[in-house]
Amino acid sequence: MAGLTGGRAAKLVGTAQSHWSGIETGNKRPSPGLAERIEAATNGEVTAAELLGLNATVSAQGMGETSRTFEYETQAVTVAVPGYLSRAASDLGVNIEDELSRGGLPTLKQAVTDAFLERYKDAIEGTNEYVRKHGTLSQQFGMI
Amino acid sequence: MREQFDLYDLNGTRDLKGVCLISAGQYANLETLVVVPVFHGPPDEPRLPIHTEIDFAGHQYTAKFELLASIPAASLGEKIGHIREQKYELKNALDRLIAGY
Repeated sequence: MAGLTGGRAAKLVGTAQSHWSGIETGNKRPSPGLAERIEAATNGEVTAAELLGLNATVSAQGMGETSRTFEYETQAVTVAVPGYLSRAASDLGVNIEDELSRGGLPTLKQAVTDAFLERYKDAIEGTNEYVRKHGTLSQQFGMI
Repeated sequence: MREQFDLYDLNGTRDLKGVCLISAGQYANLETLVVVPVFHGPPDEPRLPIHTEIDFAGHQYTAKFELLASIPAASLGEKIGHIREQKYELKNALDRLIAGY
């Protein structure tokens, strides 16, 4: 499963090897919490929604946090987006819900980074040009 | 006595107004100090989140944190003032240099 196999994988996500084997073969379904840990361990290559056989829905909450919620029988799985990432996404015009639905937190982070680099492309190049021309203070004072 | 966010001349270096001392006062007696260069003029647009607009003596300057540097304490020129009133903006830019956003 996305490079995660055997006893090491089971230990990494905190489950018994026999249970892990069942999940790998599709004979067992993980709990919502375990599904979240697997998603985190695979950097989102395997999503909790996929493991639970569900469609992700997204709901925005207060205090700058955005969560993705899976309906799973009577339980809900919530993936919290850090406030700083939520604010950066809003500032850069990244649609949080779309990116979370597409691939979870890793996809959202990548989209925000891409948008950041695009917005500041000229500013970053201008800074690099200045350093090429003048060098740095550390160089000037022989600190490197 | 050197204090954090003091502004020092750097003896006419380049197009700098000077440098702002970032090292805390407890480390001001070390022979190397961490400073951020302060340039003449407001930040370019779009403004990088690590560029802090500085108001000093009725003029606008820009502290550029991508150029944060350690320099010999002996290379600092005359103290020309301080920008402690803008310490939160300066700390925020430093945070952003580390955190990314």
